[in-house]
Amino acid sequence: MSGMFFFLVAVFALSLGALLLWTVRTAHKRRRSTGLAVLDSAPQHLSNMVAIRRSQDPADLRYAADRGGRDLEKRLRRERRGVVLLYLNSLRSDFEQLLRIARVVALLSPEISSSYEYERLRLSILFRLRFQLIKLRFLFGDAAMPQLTSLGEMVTSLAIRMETAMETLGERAALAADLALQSEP
Amino acid sequence: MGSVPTLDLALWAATTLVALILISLILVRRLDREFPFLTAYLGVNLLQTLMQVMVYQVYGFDSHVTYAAVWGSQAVVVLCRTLATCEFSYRVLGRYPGVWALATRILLVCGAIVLGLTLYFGKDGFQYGVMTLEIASEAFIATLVVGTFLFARYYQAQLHLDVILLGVGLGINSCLKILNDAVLSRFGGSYAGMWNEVGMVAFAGVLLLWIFAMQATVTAKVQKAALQPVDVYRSMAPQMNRRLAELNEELIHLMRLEQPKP
Repeated sequence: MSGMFFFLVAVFALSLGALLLWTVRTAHKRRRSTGLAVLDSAPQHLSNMVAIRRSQDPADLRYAADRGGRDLEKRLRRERRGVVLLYLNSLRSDFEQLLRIARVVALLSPEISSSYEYERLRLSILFRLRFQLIKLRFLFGDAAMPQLTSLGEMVTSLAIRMETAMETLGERAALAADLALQSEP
Repeated sequence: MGSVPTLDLALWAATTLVALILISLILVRRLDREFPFLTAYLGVNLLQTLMQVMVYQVYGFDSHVTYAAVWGSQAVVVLCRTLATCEFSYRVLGRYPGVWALATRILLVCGAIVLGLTLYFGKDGFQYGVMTLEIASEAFIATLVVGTFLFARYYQAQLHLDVILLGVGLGINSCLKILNDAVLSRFGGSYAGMWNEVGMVAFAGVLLLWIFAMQATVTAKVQKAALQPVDVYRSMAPQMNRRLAELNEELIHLMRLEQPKP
């Protein structure tokens, strides 16, 4: 066996072993909130986006600088940044909650679309990457409202897909109920 | 049998004993109906041990007949373990028909890719060609196991202790076999004696894990229907639709009104 192939095989086996232990680390303790319970905490923070975006208006900062001086402007800027970071974290928790609901829906569905599942996985990866990028930019003082809007669009996209999935599930449930009623003696 | 080291003989006996205890436990507790392929795999494994003893006694260790018989039976054992792995995957995800259908497609494709790549890149480098096959098939099994656990984690599917232990045993067994075979293929004769011992110790450990798994099965009843009753669907669907539609409309409204000014 060549050295390189031995190395690759060993890394592959060790990686799989580590991945295996990682996936089962908390598997037994894991409790999935199923059915209606998961709906009780639907996204709550997105309605604040208008206020958050307005709070980032540069005209306000210029006005504060003109009237209150540089110190007031700096303080205002710092506090706004803190607000946006808090909002970003809330946005992420909304997104995660949507994903949790989507997973429950997929588990309960007798059929799921691979393209839908792939799209959701892609969205979640993109969301997390962009989230970290935007957070970094805010931490370094670069207000990035277009990126924030982009995050909102991703949440919207996910919501639309889930809406369609739920409609399908609802239709199936209704059809199953009708069939059950018809088959009763 | 005189040329076999005492340690190897002791390990062989111990492994066989643990396997017998496990299969007895399964039969006594009637778990063979719950785990038919695992039971078949353990049975085939014990038969292989019996067959090996007879072949070694008749033909010795260096005969071509012995080589063919031992590795031929190993192919059957690996096939049975693959089926037991599929059984494990079904116990984890089979309750969710939609996810199960998707998972089988993805896991089989991933497993086939791993199998193909290992066979392709290992074909020239191996001193022992049969090791290529074993490493490839163990990689296939390990991929199925880890992939199943990843699916379960992603969808937050509930796992019972028996299934976790069963899966961990299957996965660890395959990963250790890959490493053990790779080291033997790389370092050859100097590792040959230890290869057998490491393999048997690892397998004994896995069998012990499965004994715990079978004991846990008694208290961990597998939940049947994961699909919710119709009235739950009827109440859940409008709630979800309403909340998501409100969220969606709010965001769309926001995007239109609050576009960044040029």
